Formats: sequence, structure tokens, C-alpha cells
Amino acid sequence: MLPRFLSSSRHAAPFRTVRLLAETLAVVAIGIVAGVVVNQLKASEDRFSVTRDYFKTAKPVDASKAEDVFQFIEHAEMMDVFQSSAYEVGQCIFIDARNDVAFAEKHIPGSYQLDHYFADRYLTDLLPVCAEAERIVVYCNGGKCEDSKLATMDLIENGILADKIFVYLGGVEAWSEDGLPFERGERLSGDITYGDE
Amino acid sequence: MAMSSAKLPPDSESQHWIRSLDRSGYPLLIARMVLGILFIKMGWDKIGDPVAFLKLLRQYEIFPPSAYLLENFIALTLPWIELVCGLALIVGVFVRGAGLTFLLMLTGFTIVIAIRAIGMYKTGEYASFCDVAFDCGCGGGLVGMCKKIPENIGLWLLSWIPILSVSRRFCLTGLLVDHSNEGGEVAAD
Repeated sequence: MLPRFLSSSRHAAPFRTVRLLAETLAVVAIGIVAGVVVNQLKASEDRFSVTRDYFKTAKPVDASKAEDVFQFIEHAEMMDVFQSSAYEVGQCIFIDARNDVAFAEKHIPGSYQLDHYFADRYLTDLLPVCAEAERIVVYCNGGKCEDSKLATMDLIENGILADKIFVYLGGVEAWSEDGLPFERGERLSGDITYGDE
Repeated sequence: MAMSSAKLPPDSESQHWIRSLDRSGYPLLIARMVLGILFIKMGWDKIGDPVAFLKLLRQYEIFPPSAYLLENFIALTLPWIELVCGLALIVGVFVRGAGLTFLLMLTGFTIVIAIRAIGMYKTGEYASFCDVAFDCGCGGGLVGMCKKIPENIGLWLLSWIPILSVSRRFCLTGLLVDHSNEGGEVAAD
């Protein structure tokens, strides 16, 4: 196994090879066990599920290949909705499909949150609001992000009518490029910032 | 079982020099610290958010959608394997095993990163290969390929030191096991 000039004088090559493989298996096994055990110790809603197909409803990574199930809303129309009275009174709602950290950093003012990967945390409070709303716009980072489509499927699977849900593909990136307002922290925190500030 | 050194041909001058350097323990110490700190950082950055790592892993499109169990398992455990290997190197236990694990991981990482980078470059969206940059899931965020690939090759070469070195100087193993022979070489190793 080793070049002769580096080999130990005490033990033969086969012994060293077996020992090397045993050590390798040991560190890999310890890593696997640690990962599984620590994950199991988490609260069920925070636990990463090895058996769940997180992406079963959004096979194409590229948004341009999105399946027909989704309806989309353009950036200009999105701004009109944001400024409409329907948005103010909750007939139209926005849902941010990103994780807690990204949501707290900035989200479109008044947005609700639905992180698909930990959907159980949000659906109990969110589903009654969605049932009441006439129009729902779901967004994520923009670009090739697919979390908005995954969150849309979560809503549809939980009984929200598909024909009132729209995906805003531009997402936070497009909103930010136009210097439009964001809210920081929790929903309705009132902490407003603009664009990339 | 024991192999007598008297049966080996005498070292050439360069071999003797390499052996002496190795037995000083310093090449191994440097390799252990560099690889150990790096992999602890890489693992730690990913452990907190396996979902984010899963998303990055998925962008490589290595596995078919039906292999989601394997993909999930890798997303959950790979960062922990990196962390354990990093700690093993820093402390100085299972040094050769951790070295081989790094070597295998780096081989796999570098191949898939290179394939993805070449694929992105072929789209024609980049003026040169060095303009290709993406978050490779290595824990450092967005990184240019002209930096990442040579860096990985350097680390790959460095990973051979823990595997090949016979010295256990500055290792916990070397402190616990008899190393009365030259340069802290571990008798049991």
C-alpha cells in the first residue's frame, strides 16, 4: 500500500491496508450515526425527513420548464396588486416561500410565510387565511428557485383552489431590482426598507 | 508478521530525505491542521441547514428524481462525516482513515464540480471558464471555478500526507500508544 521508503518497519502491508480501511469505515460510520442521532433529537417539526420526496411536485429545476399546473403573475401586475385595495383588506395575499432566515431578512410587506420544507409549522395558521383570500401570490428568491412552486403544491394538496394561486417567478430579486419596499423581521413589523438597502 | 528492515534495500538519498522529513512530524501536522480546520468549517456550515445543502446537491443533477432517499441521506450525513473527519485530524486519531475519507470525498466533489462547471460554460453564458461561478455546496457560498478546482486539487494532494505518513508525532494516537521508536512513529500503526 505504501511506498517502501515510507512503510513502517513493524507491520506488513496487508495489516496496514486492513487497518486503513477499518479506520475509514469507522470515521464514516461515526459521522453517519452522529447525523442521524442529532436529527432524531430535534423536534418533529424541525426534523429533516430522509424518507420524504421534497421535490416530487416540481421536477424541473429550470423555471422555464415548469409544469402546466402553475399560473404565473408578471412583475407589472404584481406591483398593481401590491398597490390595490384588495391587498390592503386581505382579499389578495402574498406568500413568501423562503426559509425563516431569508424571511426575517426581508420580505414583501404584509407577506405570510410558507417554507415548503417545514410546511407543518405554517399551514395551521395559513390555510384559513388562504381559504378566505380571492387571490394568492406565492414567491421565492426568483431566478431558478422552485420553492414558490413547491409551496403552491402544498396549498393545493391542502384543499386551496389551484385557480386562485399565482406564482411570481421574479421573486425577491425582481422586486429588489425595482427598488420596491421590503419589510424586515416578522410580518407587519413595520420595519420597512427599500431594494438592496 | 513483523517485517525486518534488514530485508529492505537501503534508501536512496532522496528517499532518506523524505523519510526524515516525514518522521519530523511537521508535514503531517500542517496537513492535519489545514484539512481539519477546513473540513470542520465546511461541515459545520452545512449541518445547521440540511435542506439548503439538499437544494445545492440537487442542482448537480447527479441522481435521478427517484433516488431522493439517497440524496436526502447524503444531505443529512455528509456534513457530519466531514465534521468527524476534521475533528479526527485535529485531535490526531484515525488519521489515515480520515485522510482516505477526505481523499475519496474530494475526488468525488472535484469531478462533479468540474462537470457542472463545464456544463455551465458550454451554455455560452460565460465569456471564459473563469467567469463560471456557483455555490458548490462547499460551505463558502458563491465561488469561481478557476479558484475552486485548483484549490480542490491542492487539497487532494495534501490528503495523501495523512494516508502515507508513518509519523504520529503531535497526534493523540502517538501520545497514547508506545512511540519510543524514532520520530514518534506509532508501533501499532
